[in-house]
Amino acid sequence: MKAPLTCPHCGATMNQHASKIVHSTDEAMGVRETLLDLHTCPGCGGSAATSD
Amino acid sequence: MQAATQDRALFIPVVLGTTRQGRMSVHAAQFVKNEIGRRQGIETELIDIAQLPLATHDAGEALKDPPFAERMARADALVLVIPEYNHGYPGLLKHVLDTCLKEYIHKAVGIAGVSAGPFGGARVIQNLLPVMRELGLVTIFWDVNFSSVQNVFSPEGKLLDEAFVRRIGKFLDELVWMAKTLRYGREQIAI
Repeated sequence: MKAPLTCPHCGATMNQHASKIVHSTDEAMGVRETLLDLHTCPGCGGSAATSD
Repeated sequence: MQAATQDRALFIPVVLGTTRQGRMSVHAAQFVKNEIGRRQGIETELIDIAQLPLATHDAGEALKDPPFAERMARADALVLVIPEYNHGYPGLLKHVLDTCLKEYIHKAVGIAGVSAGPFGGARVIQNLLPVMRELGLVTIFWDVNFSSVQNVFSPEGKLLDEAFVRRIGKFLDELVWMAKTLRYGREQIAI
């Protein structure tokens, strides 16, 4: 289980509300598939995204 | 925590989805923005994609424009005002939308279609729905259709058909409800 994020703006514990696969391309690696975790802060509404 | 969520104003920008010269959609977008602005507890602004830097040497998040991305990240919902061109949405709108992704997840979107003909962008709205879904945006079941837009607004942008005030009201009621619900979900409901 991943540790929750701390909001860099207000210090509250962020809520992870979504996980989504995103695809990207670059010349070195070609097409990449990444699982993006989306977080929102219940204190200030700030958002963040993390991936493995 | 919940008090902070309720006290903070919703931010619902209006995106004008065409760069075409002489576009009547600008009047529709300004009208929608003005109607949003009359509601307490909601901040808004008009984002005109014609004013954004639209490079074409690349596509997607590689072209992310920081001011646009910041607005999308801060938004609780979006209103897209989109003319129907050849039964589809403007390519430049898609180009702009594709510069962000994580900024849209679990946020509400309402779409206002615009046309010179009688269907009011019904086709462009239907065509855009799969894109909204993939971007993580949650569509509402109310649309606004500015059909024969040249009869709805004067060339100077004055509203000529007061029926649209009520129609926009219903549209915004649903959008605001969805925006509040999804804000709560983003902040309080873990996946």
